[in-house]
Amino acid sequence: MIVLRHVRMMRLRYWLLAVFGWVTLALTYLPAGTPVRVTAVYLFGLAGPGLAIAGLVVRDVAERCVLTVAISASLGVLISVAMTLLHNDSTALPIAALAAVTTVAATLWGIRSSRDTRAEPADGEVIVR
Amino acid sequence: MTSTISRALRRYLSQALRGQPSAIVTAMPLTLGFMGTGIGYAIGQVRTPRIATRERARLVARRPDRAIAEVGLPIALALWIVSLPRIRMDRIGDYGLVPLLPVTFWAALATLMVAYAVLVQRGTTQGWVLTAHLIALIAFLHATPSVVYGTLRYAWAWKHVGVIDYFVRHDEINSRIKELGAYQHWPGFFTLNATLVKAAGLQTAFDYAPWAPPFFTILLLGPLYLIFSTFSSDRRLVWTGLAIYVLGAWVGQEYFAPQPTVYFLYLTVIALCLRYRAPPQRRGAPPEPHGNRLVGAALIVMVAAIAPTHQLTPVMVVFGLGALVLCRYRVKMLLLAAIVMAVAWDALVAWPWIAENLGSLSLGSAGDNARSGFINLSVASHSQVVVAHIDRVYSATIGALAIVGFALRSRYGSVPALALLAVSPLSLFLTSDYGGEMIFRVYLFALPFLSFFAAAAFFPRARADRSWRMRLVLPAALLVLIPGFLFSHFGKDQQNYFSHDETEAFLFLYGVAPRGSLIESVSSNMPWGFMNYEMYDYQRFGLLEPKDREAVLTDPAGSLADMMVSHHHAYLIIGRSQIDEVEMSGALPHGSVTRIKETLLRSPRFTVIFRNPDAVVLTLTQPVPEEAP
Repeated sequence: MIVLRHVRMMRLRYWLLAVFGWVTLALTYLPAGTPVRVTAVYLFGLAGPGLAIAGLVVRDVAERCVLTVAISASLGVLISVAMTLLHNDSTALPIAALAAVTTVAATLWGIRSSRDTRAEPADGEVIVR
Repeated sequence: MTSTISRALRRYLSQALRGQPSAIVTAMPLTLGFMGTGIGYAIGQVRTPRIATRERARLVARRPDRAIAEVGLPIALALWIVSLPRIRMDRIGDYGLVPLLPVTFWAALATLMVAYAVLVQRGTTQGWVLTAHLIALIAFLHATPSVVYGTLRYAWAWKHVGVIDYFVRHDEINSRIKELGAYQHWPGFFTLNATLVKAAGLQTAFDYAPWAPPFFTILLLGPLYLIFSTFSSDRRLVWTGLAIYVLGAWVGQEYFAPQPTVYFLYLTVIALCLRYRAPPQRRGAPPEPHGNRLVGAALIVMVAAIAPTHQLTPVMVVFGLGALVLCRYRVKMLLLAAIVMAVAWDALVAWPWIAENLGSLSLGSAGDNARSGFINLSVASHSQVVVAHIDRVYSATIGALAIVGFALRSRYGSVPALALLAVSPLSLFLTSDYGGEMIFRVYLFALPFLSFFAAAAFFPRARADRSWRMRLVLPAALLVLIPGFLFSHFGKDQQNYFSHDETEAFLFLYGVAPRGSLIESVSSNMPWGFMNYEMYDYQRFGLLEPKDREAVLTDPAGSLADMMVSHHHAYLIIGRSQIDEVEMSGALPHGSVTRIKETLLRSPRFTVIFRNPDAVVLTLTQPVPEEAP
């Protein structure tokens, strides 16, 4: 229940990040090479999962920027290599796997953020420790 | 100037609007450059609105450095954009791209570096302003070929596009493929790109591959910033180190390849370890970080991704983490994990290739491995001898600057971890010669840490030195580095640049050659292998044993026909860049390939099936069937 309440309180940007991968997956059904499809796939592939996970892992802005690309590339490599070793040539499955990771990480990041926001004292409020 | 810029922008934007992906990526930096120039000028105007013209002129006369810093970036961008259409690639020759660069290009770089040096020395300039200058520097150095060459630079990049093409068409690693066999066993970069190419619906990775050098170099600024700022709070040192890195990275390992991908991951792993796994008692260590276990998980994911992507970098990860363990960083478990993952991948997946090539590894022969990368200057062309001397002196200068910086900085506190990371790549010499490239990889892996110490030569301690002499030293040093980079990086581009004529010859060849054909060439320096690469056998007569090369020189038609006759279809392709490479390196005597080509053109044993000014494709003449009596 507590988790559901926090999920409902998540800010819009975390929701957008959580669904980024699934929107990208839907866009892969557009005609080949469509600019919006190309842009979405490369933007999500190189930044989506990493941004969600980096938000959980580090708080420094510079670290977050670096990890966004590093983790996205790493997960992309690991999933694509695993697909090759399993002889699976699906186009949708690796994007779906990355989208699932992004959704989970973005949701956890959003929940933590909403908790942190609630934990911060309002102006004039005194916390007795 | 306005007409030049608007013409180029109009052309690429109209192509982009028609849905050409390559035009989209070309239009983007041009548009950004154009906008940057305008925004920079506007900011300059807005920031000083209240200063009367006469007062402003007086200020500029008194403090010219302030004026340069404020307008340097927009002026440099404008000069660069004006330079691009004036670079004539049809005139490429000795010293590669360097003689083709117009004066405005040099002026753009000089203006940018002087402005950057002034801003850095202020010590209070905002990070985004310095980042904008560095991105502009990277664009000048690495986006210029992407814009003006019109084709993919560097022969190996073409092969990498070809391996991605393989993984787009296949869902398995094929150990039976001998050509570029290593790529089948460390496929991470290729499978990742194949996944993105398929998902985006592109035909090939060509649409974005030419933009890899600026992309990767900008990307590397991130982990380098994290590493440098961990060890110094002096922003002047950090930002000078970044500029020295960009100007010092002449070895060309930022192209479309697995190496820069895992190099970025390696530096990110090192940066995170330095920031989150510091020895507990180290003074100034960051407080116990939030989410330490999550950082550990992120490190494991990155180390895991390096193992199936590159042969050499997992070894470097082990050496780098080993150096940190020696400095008491808390990375023992990560080091163990890196060893286990690298060994597991090599044993379970890459073993067929390793077993086949074990004999060619020169384990322990550090001296031979270090020397193998040097070209034989006694037979190389004059321009290549000059370029080789420049890049050796240039690398030595950065190394010497780093030693000076290390010595100066040691007076105010030591940084043993960075020093050890700078020398740890030397251990790679013990492993193999890496196809004659090891010395360049050692330089590559050492350069981030050398750059930090080289910057420390200018700013060994945090106290600001406001003397005029000090203000002049940094811009002067950065100006000296510019020609060093340009000659070392672009001095061989007569062989790294491929004209449209050469690429058309290969498109024709791949269009007609059936599966199982032999493709014979002078050398491997050509735009080859970019499609269906696994379907053909390749042979390069310029790289044969000296005895066989001599036979080709003596009797070109007979020797080459004998080599080609064993295949049901065989083609010989001779292109301008192949000739340039073998003659520049001295593998074949000057003029010999042209003589061979002319002999073959006259020989009845060969038939020309494609010809243009830069390339020719020949095949064996088919016997005329005898008429039935």
